[in-house]
Amino acid sequence: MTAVRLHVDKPVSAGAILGALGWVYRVDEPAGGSNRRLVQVAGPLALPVGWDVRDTAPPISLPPGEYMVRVRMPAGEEVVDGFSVPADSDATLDVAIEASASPHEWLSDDHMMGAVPSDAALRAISVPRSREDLQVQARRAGTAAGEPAEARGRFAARMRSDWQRHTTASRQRLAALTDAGIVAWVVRSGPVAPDNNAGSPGRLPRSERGWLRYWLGGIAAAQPATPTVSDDLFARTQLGPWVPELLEPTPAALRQIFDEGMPAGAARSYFVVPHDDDCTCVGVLPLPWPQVGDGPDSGFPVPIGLTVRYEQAARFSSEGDGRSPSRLRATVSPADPAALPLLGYLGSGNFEAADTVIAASRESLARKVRNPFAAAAMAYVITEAVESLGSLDSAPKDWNRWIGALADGWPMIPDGAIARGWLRLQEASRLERVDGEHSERAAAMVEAARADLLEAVHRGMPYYAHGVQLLVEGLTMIAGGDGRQDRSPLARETRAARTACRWLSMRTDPREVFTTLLL
Amino acid sequence: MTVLFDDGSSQPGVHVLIIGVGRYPYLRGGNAPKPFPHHENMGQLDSPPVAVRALAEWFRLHAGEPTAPLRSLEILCSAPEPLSMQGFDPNGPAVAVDPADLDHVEEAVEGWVERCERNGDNLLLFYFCGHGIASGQEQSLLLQDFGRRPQHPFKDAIAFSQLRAGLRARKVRNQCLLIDACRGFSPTLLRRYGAEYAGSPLVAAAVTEAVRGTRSQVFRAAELGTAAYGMTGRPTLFAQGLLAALDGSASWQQDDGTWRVTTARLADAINAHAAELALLDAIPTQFCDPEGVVEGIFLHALPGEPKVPVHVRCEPDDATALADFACRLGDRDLDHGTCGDLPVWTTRLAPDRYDFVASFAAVEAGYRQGLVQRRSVVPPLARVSIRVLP
Repeated sequence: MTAVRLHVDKPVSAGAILGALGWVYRVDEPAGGSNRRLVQVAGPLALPVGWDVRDTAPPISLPPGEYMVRVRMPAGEEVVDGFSVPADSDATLDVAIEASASPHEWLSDDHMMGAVPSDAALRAISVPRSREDLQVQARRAGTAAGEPAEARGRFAARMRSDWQRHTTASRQRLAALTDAGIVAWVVRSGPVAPDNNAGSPGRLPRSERGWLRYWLGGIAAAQPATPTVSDDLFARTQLGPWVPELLEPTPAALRQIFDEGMPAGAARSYFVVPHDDDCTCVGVLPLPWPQVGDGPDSGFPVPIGLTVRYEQAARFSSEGDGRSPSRLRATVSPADPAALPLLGYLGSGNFEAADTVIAASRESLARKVRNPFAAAAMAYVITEAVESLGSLDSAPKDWNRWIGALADGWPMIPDGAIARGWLRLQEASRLERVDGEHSERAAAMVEAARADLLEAVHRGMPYYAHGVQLLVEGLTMIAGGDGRQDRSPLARETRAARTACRWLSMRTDPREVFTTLLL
Repeated sequence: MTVLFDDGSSQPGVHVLIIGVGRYPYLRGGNAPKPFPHHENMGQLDSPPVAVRALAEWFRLHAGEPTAPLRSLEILCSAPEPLSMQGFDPNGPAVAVDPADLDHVEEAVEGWVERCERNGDNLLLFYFCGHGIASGQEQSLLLQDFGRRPQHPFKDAIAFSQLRAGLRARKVRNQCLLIDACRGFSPTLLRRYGAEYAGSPLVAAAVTEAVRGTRSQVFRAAELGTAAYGMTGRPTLFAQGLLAALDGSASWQQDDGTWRVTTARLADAINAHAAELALLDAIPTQFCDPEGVVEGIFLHALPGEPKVPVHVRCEPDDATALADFACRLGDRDLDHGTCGDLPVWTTRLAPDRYDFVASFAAVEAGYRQGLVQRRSVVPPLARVSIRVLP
């Protein structure tokens, strides 16, 4: 047997993170070379990602033979490679799997979360082959430049000129951010910070600004932050690690926030990306973000990275309204590599082998709920995985109660309440199956779920886009169960909350992990 | 209501509903006397009827699949010339396919859901191809008569997220929803008609039924804010990728040696196919966006091994056009050639580990032979880069 250490070669901002999932297959080749078979011998395994991280890879013992390894990255990329384990070898075998690289080192965390394309993908888009290139190539290859090459050339030339036009526009837009800055807002504090009143359907806003106020509340402070690094396509800045003005990085504040729960007076903060004297997107900033993991800096707040890019035109252009369909898009990523895999899997909606993802970070995320934002991400993964798989071996013990603690202990964060509300809907379903269609226990559970989801609306915009989706789906189900004729205050409140969540959902960018509204 | 096939069985199997909309009378190029003024440059589509026909044919060919047998197949399609399809009885008459307007879609969905609920272990498979408009997490799928009611155009659309929530309430454990439509924004339509009504949900959601262990998996043809492309006279990019995926590019070998297609690798396979078309036909790339894939849903078992597309190039790139490529398995030469007018040399191989060689006949090429040994070739696509030295 040989100890094999599998790891993924890819730069990340920290030295190494346990972020990829791997499956190992033995390649059985019967005599004659036919009917070759792949037999899974290990997996899913949590594999380390980084440069030269072989020492952190947990060894697996394999007998001599041919093997294939399949690796799934958090953003969804799949890499397949082969390796041989030689006979008569006691040495450790290191197998490095090469994943795609990010366009810049300063975008490596965003790339890990799936928010920016790989360097190779960008190059493929940005340097399409021109007709001239193809003709030259065709001559070199000793073949005539036929009609297919001509047609390809016309397409390619158009794509290249489109790309050049886009790059120029992108450079101008991002340069404007250097002057205006990305604005970090701190919103008025308190567990009911937003100005919403889900109980009064007649008071639902009628304008975009009204809706923003409904979900965000009033502004207490604003700080412009200019991009610290950029190229033609991306600009990035860092915000935090502290919520400006309200918190000081003292040991007392740390204890207050992370051991005793968020104080009632703490603030929520948001960012705004300005665009042509207006704003193009608004999003949550999960600040302060205590570092996940068991290292010496565990629990200390880290900054939040904000990457802005100018997106190429979408499908529709409104004739006559003169506005470009291209727009700025923003991505939030905490400078906390240990949390990135979980956020990446949540963002890509890829919960395959969720057990392994959770097992890799369960201890650092679940214990004491030191980072409620990361814990909320894990709660969503659990609810999603449990819904599909029925159970999870690696979820925290008594995870139902654990999510309850997240919901009750962090009144600033709607996501705990959303996760619990969703679990209660699942439980109601189970009870109905056990007790029958008119189960009183199921009805009570639905009412408890309703209370959770309405409480989440009162707390304001969910931190995660996944939470927005669960909120709108849960409220739609409950309101559908009430029926249109139900005029009770609670039914009216539920319908009003559903309307508010639908507005939120229709502006939430589903590509982003953290809630970002496209306005 | 055009049910091409229904075996009436309550045994587990696949129930398919395919909706394609290529004809939009109230949008650009349509023949309605009062066109919709806020058409947002959306017009008639060539690919959806072709995609509908191709997918229906695929299911017909594979209806006898023993492990996931087809139980029912219903299609609706709006095309400039009404579509007619041969039923499953080869001696029977061709069936005229009903158009994809709201009335027919409502009726079809009702019947399809009833059929799906015959057994909780069924696979519910929904495919829509036509115009789509995205608003954040919601996506409106536009039916044939979109724009007929200028005061309420989304009455003739499907609110897809709500449809999905409704379907999760039905007693069908496996749900695969394939949405082959654009996800562009329309600020004009959103401002004018608001966010409250994005379309008909078609299926109402009950309170508690919605959350029992349903595997609800969505595969959207394009990322938010981007277009899903069609090709004149051919199925859409997404449909082509889907067909390639079903034919094996989304497969993986099981311990018993069979190659099975599941939803776990569907998006990878569709994206690999789109990347291949982008490279070979120089068309824009498009990314399939999966959602809710926790564990794969079984779709199809291959009768043999899949054929995997392989792209071979040299590093540096300049050498690719000058190279003669060859592929070997052990001592056997399996294939050889040049890249011609393409940016890579392409071949198709059974899954295995191969040696790839780039050699240069002409001295003036200025490169020496390069070799990549025992490179794994597995679905959906293998890319091989051979480093050559001057």
